Amino acid sequence: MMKIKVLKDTVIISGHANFANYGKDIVCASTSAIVTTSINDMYAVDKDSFIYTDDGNELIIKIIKKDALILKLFNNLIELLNNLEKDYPKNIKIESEE
Amino acid sequence: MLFLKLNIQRFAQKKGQSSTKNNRDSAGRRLGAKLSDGQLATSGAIIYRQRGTKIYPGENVGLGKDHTLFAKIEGIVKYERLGRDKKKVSIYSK
Repeated sequence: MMKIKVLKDTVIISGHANFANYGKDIVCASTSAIVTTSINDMYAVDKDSFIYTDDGNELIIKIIKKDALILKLFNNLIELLNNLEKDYPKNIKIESEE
Repeated sequence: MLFLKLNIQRFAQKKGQSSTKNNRDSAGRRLGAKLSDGQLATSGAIIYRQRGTKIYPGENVGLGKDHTLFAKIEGIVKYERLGRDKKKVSIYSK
């Protein structure tokens, strides 16, 4: 089960989707694609507007500059992850803390 | 230039770790015909292994409690029709 913690300006993603074996896990692949695309988009807009760390266990994205476009991209990321959780509730768990 | 390369396995199990809990199956039960039509069967010989009565016992053929069909006498095996859509197997002495 992949755990996603959403704070006001931060998202923390950890765990494994466990939908299928390595190489066939579509839930993991979707999450990876969504997160990577969002990070690259935010980087392209303003590379100083967020902090991104990934130690192999936890991937953290933290917004440090409240730019309108950056916030749109960040919220889009969260919406897509919520969408994925609805379709695969056994594989993704999102906890939101305001 | 991409800031972050796409690794679609980033949130997957480590390689080799199986996430599915299935992957189990029982050994095959080797069901089916043990003696074919026209073959000589000795008394007591098993003719057909089955689940339920796919094939019914005919002349000189017994039905075991696991629905195995066996020969009651020595003779030739004969698969025959039984009614419209059923089959039976009989033993006819030579």
